[in-house]
Amino acid sequence: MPKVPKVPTAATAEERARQAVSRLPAAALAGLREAFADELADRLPRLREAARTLDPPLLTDALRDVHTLGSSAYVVGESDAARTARAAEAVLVGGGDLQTFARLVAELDGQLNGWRP
Amino acid sequence: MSPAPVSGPHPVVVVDDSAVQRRFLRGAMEAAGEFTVVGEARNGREAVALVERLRPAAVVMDLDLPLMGGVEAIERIMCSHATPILVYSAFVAGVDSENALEALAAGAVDVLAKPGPDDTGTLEEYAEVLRRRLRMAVRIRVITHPRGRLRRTGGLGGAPPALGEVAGRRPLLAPAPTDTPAAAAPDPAPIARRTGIKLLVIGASTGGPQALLTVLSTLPADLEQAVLVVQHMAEGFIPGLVSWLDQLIELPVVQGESGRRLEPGTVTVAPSGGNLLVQDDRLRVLITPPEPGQFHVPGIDATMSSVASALGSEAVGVLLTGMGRDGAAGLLAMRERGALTLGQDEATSAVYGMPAAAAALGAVDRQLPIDAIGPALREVLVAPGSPTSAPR
Repeated sequence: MPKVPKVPTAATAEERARQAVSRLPAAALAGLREAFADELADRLPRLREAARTLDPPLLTDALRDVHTLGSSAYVVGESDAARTARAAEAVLVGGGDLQTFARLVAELDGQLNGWRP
Repeated sequence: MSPAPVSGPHPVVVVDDSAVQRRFLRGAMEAAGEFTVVGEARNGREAVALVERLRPAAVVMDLDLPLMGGVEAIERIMCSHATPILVYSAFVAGVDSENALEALAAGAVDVLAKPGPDDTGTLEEYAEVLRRRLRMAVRIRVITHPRGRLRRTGGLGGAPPALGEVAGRRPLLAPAPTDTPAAAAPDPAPIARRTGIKLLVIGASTGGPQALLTVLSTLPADLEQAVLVVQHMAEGFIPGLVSWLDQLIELPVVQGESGRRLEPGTVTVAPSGGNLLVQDDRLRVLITPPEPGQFHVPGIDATMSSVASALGSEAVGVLLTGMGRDGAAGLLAMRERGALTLGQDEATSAVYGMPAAAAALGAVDRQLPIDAIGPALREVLVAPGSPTSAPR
């Protein structure tokens, strides 16, 4: 059964981020979240295109994108998305099934699309 | 040359292509007031330029960077403005652990995996670890690293190749020369060959991978003794060290396993997560959990003490560069049981901590520059007249 995409609300995402980096000042936390939103705006569309076409040159960029998102999503409290991104990275690095990669990107998209700082 | 001491917070440059990571690092480092981020770079080229301009006390650097990768940036920095570099990178499924080894070989002083979903602690705890590691890093007196210089100038045969340049086992290059006067100084007296030696055990920590490569690459493929290496290393990186060394030296390199015997002519690397103990003179090994509160795992003291008990004078102990004191007591135990013991000297140590502690305890028979340790071991271990007895 396909996994139901989870779209976090701003409040729950903010709360998770606060828990993740509880000692950071509010301004730093806000900056972190804004930076993550920018990163998503930049990388998610590229990932979608790579997953749609499975074009090798695009997959090269996609590897960097999932690598980066796997770490930065965790830092803002999105552990599930971080796990999905790292699984997608492991598929690419390990020469795994590209359909699996495409499925993981769709899952990541569901987890992070609509994310707001 | 290291930057001049500073009275305020230690200035740090962070290098990561992710703005999220740069902001997180800044927040984590500046939270306690010990460090201040004076520059941010998004790629290796910017990192090299920033270090040259700002001369920070330390650099925190990702490896997977656009335009110029982290390993190349580290080589360039260590060649021109040697600075303690803490590698901060994501090592997904262990695939990048060889990159980490390359970074250490290029002169980085430590490796820290980025926080990730499999971590058991909180980000706040992670930030504490980061600051603690950085605190150690800024105390390290780094030396200009020759590898980058040799590569840049097209020098021949001096530098170990990067992992990506190696295709299978191949003839060895000479060990990397150091550029310190002490390294070039002749040993005052040769060390006599000893018979009946069964095991060479080597302990290392910060700066260890490069030092290990320099020593192990001088040992011949038909070495009659077993070699055991204990290198302080975070969980997950030992397989990368094993693979990296295995491609660069003539002796086969394997990771130690409980219940197995150490084989003559084979380098066994102690696994992370526990202490490797040598049980008897048949060289059977046992991996035991670390002691409560044990800071360095795998522990060198634990291994060397077990070697002292199991083999007495039938072993040789070597303690290489590293911070702290681990290995000093173990080396002393070996010496007290009749083993020959060597320590790396200050001039060629990335961190003259462990070998200094061993020397202070009287645990070291002979203190030598890194380039002289391998030849000394050949004198001790390889029979005269052996086809491989001549120095490489």
